[in-house]
Amino acid sequence: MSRLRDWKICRAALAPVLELTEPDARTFRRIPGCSLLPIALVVLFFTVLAVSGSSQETDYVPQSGTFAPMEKSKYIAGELVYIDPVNRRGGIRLEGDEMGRYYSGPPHYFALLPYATVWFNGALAEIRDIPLGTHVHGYFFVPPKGEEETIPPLPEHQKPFTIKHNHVLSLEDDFSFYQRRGQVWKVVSVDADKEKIRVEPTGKTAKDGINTPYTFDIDVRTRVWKARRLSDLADVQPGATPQWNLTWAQGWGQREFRVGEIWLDDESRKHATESQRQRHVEYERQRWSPGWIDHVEEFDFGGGIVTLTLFEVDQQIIDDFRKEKDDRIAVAVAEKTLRTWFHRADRKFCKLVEWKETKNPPLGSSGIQLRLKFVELLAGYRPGACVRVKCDSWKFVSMPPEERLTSREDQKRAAKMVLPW
Amino acid sequence: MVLRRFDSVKYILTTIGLLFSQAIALHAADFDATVQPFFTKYCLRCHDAQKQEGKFRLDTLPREFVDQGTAQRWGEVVFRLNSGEMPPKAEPQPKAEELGKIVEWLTSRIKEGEAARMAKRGPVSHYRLSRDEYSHTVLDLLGVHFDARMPGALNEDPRWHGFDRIGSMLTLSPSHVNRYFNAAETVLDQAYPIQPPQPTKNRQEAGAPNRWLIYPGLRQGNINVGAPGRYRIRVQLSALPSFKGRLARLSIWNESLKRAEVGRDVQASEDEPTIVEIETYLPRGGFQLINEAPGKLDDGPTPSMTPKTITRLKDDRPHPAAYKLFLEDGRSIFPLLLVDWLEYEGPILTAADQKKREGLFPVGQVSNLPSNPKQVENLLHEARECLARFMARAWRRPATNAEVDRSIKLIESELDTGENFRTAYFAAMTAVLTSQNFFYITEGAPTERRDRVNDWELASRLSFFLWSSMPDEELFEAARKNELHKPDVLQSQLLRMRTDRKIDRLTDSFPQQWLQLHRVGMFPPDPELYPDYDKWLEQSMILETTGFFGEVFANNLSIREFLSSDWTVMNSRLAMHYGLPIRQNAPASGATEPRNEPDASAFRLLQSGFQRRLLRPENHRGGLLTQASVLSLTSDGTRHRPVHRGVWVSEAIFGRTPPPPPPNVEPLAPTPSDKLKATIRDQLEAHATHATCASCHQKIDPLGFAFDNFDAIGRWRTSEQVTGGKGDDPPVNAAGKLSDGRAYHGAEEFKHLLVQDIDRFAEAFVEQLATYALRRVMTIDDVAQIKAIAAASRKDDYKLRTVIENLVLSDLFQKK
Repeated sequence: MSRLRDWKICRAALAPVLELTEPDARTFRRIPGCSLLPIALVVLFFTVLAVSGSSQETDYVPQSGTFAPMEKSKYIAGELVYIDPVNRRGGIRLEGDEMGRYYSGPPHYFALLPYATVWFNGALAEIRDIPLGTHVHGYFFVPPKGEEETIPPLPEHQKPFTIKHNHVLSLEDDFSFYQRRGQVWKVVSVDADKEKIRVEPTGKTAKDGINTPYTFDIDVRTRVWKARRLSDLADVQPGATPQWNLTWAQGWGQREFRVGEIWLDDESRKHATESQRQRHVEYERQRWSPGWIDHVEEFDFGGGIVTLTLFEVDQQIIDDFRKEKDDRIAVAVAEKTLRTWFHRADRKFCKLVEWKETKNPPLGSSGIQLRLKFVELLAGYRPGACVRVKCDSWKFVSMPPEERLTSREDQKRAAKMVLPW
Repeated sequence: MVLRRFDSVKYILTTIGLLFSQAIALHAADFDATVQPFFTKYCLRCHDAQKQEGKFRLDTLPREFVDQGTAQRWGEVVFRLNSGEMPPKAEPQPKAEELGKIVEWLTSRIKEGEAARMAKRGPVSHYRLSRDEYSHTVLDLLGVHFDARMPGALNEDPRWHGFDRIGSMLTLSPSHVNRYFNAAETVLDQAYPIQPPQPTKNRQEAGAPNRWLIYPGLRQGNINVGAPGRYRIRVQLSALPSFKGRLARLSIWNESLKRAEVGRDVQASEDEPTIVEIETYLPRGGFQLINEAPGKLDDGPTPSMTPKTITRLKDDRPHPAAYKLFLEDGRSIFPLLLVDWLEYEGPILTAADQKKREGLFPVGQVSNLPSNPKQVENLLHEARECLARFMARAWRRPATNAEVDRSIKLIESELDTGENFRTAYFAAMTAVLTSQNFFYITEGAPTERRDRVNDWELASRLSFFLWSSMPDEELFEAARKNELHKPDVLQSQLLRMRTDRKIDRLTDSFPQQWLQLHRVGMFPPDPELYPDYDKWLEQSMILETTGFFGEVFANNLSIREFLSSDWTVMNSRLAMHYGLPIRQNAPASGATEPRNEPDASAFRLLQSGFQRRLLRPENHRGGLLTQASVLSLTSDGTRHRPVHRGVWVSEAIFGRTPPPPPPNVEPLAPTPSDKLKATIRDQLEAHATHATCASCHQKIDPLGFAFDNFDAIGRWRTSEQVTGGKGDDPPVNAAGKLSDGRAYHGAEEFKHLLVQDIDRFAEAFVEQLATYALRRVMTIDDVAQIKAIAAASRKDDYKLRTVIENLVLSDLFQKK
């Protein structure tokens, strides 16, 4: 009983350290007993001081108005087990079983940064497009200043499992993650009886994720795509070079995965990608293309010039803007969740003054900057604020009530994630 | 007797006619010998049947000088020859003696024709009151404010080169009569109501600690006017300027007419509210408080998201989908009003207004006729006296017994039909106000032929010139004594009238008509190109010009100031427009506002924050010509129009109206997108190379090019914003050469050239003033007297009051 109490004390005291890296936590789990606890605590106290100091220096805090650099992020992967699609938040069951998290810890809850990109089946997506249970790869940051409470603290008994990097820059399924990095899988063998598939990576090697030969579970639940049709497991043969999406498997704690969906050939992959791309384009056309405001020049006789940058969107959306850049553009204010109010009415029209493109924009940015002239400005048009921007050719669509913000109370409530468990 | 008078008039006319028919025959031979060779040598090459340069033929111009139109054309020929404009410099030039001989011959013939032309004028001249004069007159007659410009009130007056009081233009139609009738009933109802309205006082509060937040375009509070009249409105508020310094403007919004009736600039911090008091006439209807500033915010559902009340600005957390009213640093983007409460009381009847109505309405039993015949007789006797007084004042001359009898008969016939006495008397009063004797200024009589106005007519002429209204009792008295025409009496009346507040009507109305300020805002500027333009700026532009004129008048400055000055009058709104530093000079808190009636232009200036300001050369202003009003009225709402500006300068400054453009002139096309951007001047110069256009444009255009540094709403610029075409906006070229060869670079040098021609301007100015005063177009027969008035004024450096005095004391002013 006393060991259990000491264990809890240790966990609480070492929480900052645990947040650093999983090997640290693993080391701690292997402490054989707590009789050495006082010594360990003294040693660790100084370690905490030293490491936490350096941690503050190394953790990049995203700034409003600046796209967070990918190289400053932290890679985290796991199974998507919870989403709040309206507010672009979710929870990941982390892979493996560090600290016994798989057996007794909560998912890692996160919020997407406004400019975060989500990829599914090789195309841009919304988090709502990714089926629950899909294994995803994410690049995370600590919360931007002022948004530390967006993801509320875990309940007291779960606090040791806290990972402070809970704001996502990029979230991808396996299909997108490996394909976009040029890593292709090659099937080495398939054992239908044991329901195992042995694969090895070819092509380029992804820096993160699985980049060594691996054995996954595969069974009748695995959906096999060939050309544009569903196929059979029998089609999965050695020598094939598929992409897949992994999912939960019984041995998750031991980093075991099951192949949930597999695309055997180029045609099947292209079809899946195109299907998702179209879905995303329609989503953007209905909800409007997100961006944020770089600068506002107000006129005291009404209106002003707003300079904004569009977040990363599909090329087709950019082409829509490019085609109609002289026409009426509508801009609705949005929250950091990219939720709008009643955007078809709570918007202002404007005219394009200048179209500027930046080559090699940072992740999350489209590289398209627009200078827009308004006759009237909304209070939400402030530097750093998020907006959604509509092309004149897109139809006005009313969002269902649960998607839009309807009151200031609603806005306040939506500012924080409600933890499901 | 009357018949005999007619016979004598006929005889005189016939005699004059005969004499002139003989004279014409004599002159025809003289013309062939003296004038024709000159015309053949120097003029007919361009002005004959073949070329008809400027659409003018000299070979077919009739050789008689009795007809007014022909004499005018010959007068034009003399002017062109005298000024050296003709023959053009490139053509053979006549010797001085040749020219002198021709001019002298033509001038003599024109002069000889004058008597015949004068004889051709009718014995009676009628000049209908303009709408403004009607309003002023009923105000001075009965103390009733009647807005004749209100939709549905009186018909709009046609204008002749800006003047809305030219007798020959102001005709009468059945619709006029109908409206005069309605107007008379409205005025009389207000002057003598059945139940005098009881003044009431109302108060509305935002409810402390809340305050009404009034951003541009938003209206708050309700002022319900059941009885038209003068109302006093008090408002406690804070008024925050915009981050650019633009002042808030509290105005009273007329809900039915959708316009601001009266307003004033206000400034008061959030923590130190002030009380603004406005006293104004209001018609029946609903009114609200409005923040009259550009940037009307009224699109879609956004106003419903924007707070209408506020407690403390710093506590406000605006809804993201509401209007943006504040910068990130908390300063207000727009001028904002924060209102605590609103009070209004009225209608207020002043003792002065009440006094005007005394003695015009029987004070006895007026509803029902007394049963006693003696009482009836007494009442009708009192009515007769009242009506006679009313008719004399309304008709600006004593009413004859027959005229009063007719009115009494009307009362009696109304009583016979069963109407009560009040209604019957009202019918007679209405008849007075709907009589042509009221709405026409009549000069002369059908039964007598005279060249000069009589004293009653002179009194009206003087008062309508100076006050745009009827004479007052003192002026009537001078006329009654038949002394007004005497120079010393006329002069003393002029000096007295000049000190009356009603003189503001002259300084307000004359410059508006002379300079054609009614055209300001006629083509509303394109909001895309000129988003800063708003109604208050437009009014401020006009107020600057009328205020400038008033300042010249008040200080008796030379009319040279109209051409060039190192000062102007300006409010903060105009200072912003001109790019000058803004002086935060909103009226002091708590100051009582004067009533907003038509003769209070000086007060309107004061309450609008207008002040005299010295100008530096780098301000590019001074004089009338570079005021935003003048520069705007000559534009089309999108672009400045150099030709229009040239025509305006020619008319207003030189008193010469260029010929109209030929029909079917192709408008300037927008610059094609594949061509380099070109200024309007560049396009015009290409256009004017066409032979049919060049002759006129080379005279007109230089008068307009001088102002190319000013855009369509009068802002200074060095490059011209061109919407089409490629490349940068081209630089402005404001240099040019007058038709006499003098060159200028920009508006300042141009103005200095005009100052050098001050004598010419003075003559043109006197002509404009006389047109306004005499309510008719000046003719060739008035030229000599106009020149004499100008020459007399020159001795006193053309001081404005001296010019006016010389006009009033001149023969021209008393000539019929």
